[in-house]
Amino acid sequence: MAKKRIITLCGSGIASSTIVAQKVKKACEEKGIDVDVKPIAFRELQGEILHADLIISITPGLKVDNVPVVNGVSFLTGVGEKNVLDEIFKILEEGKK
Amino acid sequence: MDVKIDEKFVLNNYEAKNKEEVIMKLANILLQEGVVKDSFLRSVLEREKRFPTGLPTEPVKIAIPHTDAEHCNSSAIAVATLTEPVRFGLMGDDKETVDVRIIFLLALNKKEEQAIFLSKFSQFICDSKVIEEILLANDSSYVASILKDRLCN
Repeated sequence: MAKKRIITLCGSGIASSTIVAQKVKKACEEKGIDVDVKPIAFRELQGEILHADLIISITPGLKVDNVPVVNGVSFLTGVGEKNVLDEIFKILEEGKK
Repeated sequence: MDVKIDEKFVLNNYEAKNKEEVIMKLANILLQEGVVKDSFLRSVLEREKRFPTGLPTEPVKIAIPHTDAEHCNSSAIAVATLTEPVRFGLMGDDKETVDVRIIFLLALNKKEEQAIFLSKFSQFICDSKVIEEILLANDSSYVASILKDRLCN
């Protein structure tokens, strides 16, 4: 499986997206999935989206064509984190890119 | 770690009518200490409308208001525990809200240097025992010491 590119997205690209990026990168590495995880701010999304296999968002009302979007709030609360990770693994493993 | 945590930045059992009042109170403390710029408070409140920061942590719900680095001179964390919850928007959601008992106002001014701090912070806010301990504490110096111990070592 080729290296997967994941964007974690929040309002400023500074706090929540960084926390989520760290957790997702660690979990993917433990699962043996090669990933590049980049935390970005909402306003930076447009330029980054073409290269992404998956967007993990903590931004309300995000609608994107062509790239799957997963809600990342579980990584901040610890509640339901495992289910979201399973969903992420599934998307990455089934992805055609 | 270059994130300042001081007992002056901690309010225990604060009574607030709404989230704006708590954020204003904490932001003014950081402003007086020179941690943040004049623009910080307005920017946090504006951001909270578009990107709410309430988190449904169990059993104590919290919020982590913050904004862009350009509004901060240095990095610090200010905390308020509330006698009665105030309502925050749920992070990542347009409609849902959460009734929050603890507010961690984050002032972060250097994106590159915050990764380790944020990693510890995310573990910290998921630790229900220590969050409950902070809620029950009556002593700001004790809360500051818990935070330093968890986040700065």
